[in-house]
Amino acid sequence: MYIDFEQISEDSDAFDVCIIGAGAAGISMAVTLSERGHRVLLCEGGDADYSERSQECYRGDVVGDPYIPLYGARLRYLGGSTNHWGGVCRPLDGYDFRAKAAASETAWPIERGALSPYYRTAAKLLDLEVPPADQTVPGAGLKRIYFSLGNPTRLKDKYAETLRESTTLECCLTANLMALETQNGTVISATFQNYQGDYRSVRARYFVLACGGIENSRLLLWCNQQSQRQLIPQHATLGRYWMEHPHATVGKALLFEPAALGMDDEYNIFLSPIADALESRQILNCGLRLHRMNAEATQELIEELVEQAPALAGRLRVWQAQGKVIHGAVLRAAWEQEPRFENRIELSQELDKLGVPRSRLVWQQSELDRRTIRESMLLLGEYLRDNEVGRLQLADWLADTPVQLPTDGELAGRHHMGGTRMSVTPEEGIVDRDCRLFAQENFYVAGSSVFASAGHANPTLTLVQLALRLCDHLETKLASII
Amino acid sequence: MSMDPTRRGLLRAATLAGIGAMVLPGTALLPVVQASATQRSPASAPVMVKGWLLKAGDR
Repeated sequence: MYIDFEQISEDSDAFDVCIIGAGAAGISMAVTLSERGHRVLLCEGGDADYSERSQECYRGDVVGDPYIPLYGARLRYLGGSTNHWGGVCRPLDGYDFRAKAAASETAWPIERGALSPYYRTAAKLLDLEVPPADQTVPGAGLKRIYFSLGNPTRLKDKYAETLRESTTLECCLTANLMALETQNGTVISATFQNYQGDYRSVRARYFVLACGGIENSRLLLWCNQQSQRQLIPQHATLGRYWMEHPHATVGKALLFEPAALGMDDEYNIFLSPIADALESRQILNCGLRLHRMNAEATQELIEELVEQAPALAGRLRVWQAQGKVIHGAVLRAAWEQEPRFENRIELSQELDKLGVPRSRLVWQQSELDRRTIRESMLLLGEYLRDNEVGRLQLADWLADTPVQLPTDGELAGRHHMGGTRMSVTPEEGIVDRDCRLFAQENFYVAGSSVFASAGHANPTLTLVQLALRLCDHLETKLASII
Repeated sequence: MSMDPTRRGLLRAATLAGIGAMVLPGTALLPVVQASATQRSPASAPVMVKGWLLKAGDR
């Protein structure tokens, strides 16, 4: 049920779990725990619908490579960024959880197997169909991969009745986290402010911060500062190792044998290097998207190729006369960014209207990031050429070295990862393998900010799997108290 | 007429040399054959032209 800000109580026995942030992770945890009978308070800083007063808190600076304005890259109201996501999902690959040869910082302290039990439940929660299994493309160093593609679920709409009617879930809007009080390794209370300048504090057995892959870092940086670093004493990596999925149009391809990649049947196919290729080429992960062109664009591409490959022209003309099906395709890609200490969320000097310092994103792609996308495209191009499946053309910015990344266009996927990374030790990260702050026994972080590496896949499914795993963990902890 | 040792030795040497002359070119060829199995033919050598990943023979 919804409660007004003024109704927030400091009664320490009122709530088992206080969840801060009502996006994909927060709503998933709130409905799951409340359905199991646990008393949950869900605090969301925004309103029920879009409002300027909330959204303006997301204004911030970007330093480094061109990026999407922080104000427009995410949404700050009930449902969070599920209110504008595309519904495209895929789990991370198993090797995304292990140290990749090209960058050892990519290792998680858990294997993908720790999340596998939560795959189907997470898919059901997000209304996603489980896609087919990946298929190796023989001789290519690539595999054909599949995404769940569906109507994007708006979680605030899907769970509107639960949020309204549940007797074990209380939801308070316009509750903006301002401070966390900690004592002897336990978070005692969380203090919130509404837009009228009123404050309320909440006590709960457990707290979960679930405000997204930029805001989690910003709020913890602020709260840690307020607490004189009692909250996170070992804070060197707080905000650090921030990652995105760079996105770009990367080239074109002419497929003489479209069936070799499945493009005889499908308009869109997806490919990714296999683990051996990542190691041999010393690159990180990459998702290549081939989108079939129409007949007119395909013919234009044939003419472009014929101009550069006159000896190939004869064969192309014969094939066309024979009615052989040749498909042109536009290639787009999303690739894994290297987790680097230097890429970070930090606090700006400028304050928002609530008095909290705004975010500043410091972000640059590395030489490894550039090599990842170039080598992935070369891998595909070499396969097409050497096996007479087709010919590939790199985009201008990829053909020349050093690679000059595009400064406009898609740029990135609005996938905000890292900043409160999961690690084995507090020297290397902010949360442990259970997503708990190392120095606090009852404070957890949910969402993609705990990702130790990014893979290439959209993060929503994985972050919901992590959230559901955290629900099981909290349930075990709560059971030990009773 | 029986061969004197010197003539027998020269004949053995010539015979061996003859076998060697037959074998050596063959063995000399083997590395070339093996090499060609891993080397591309000139027509299939890779080239990049205006971003297109082509074979030299495409041109």
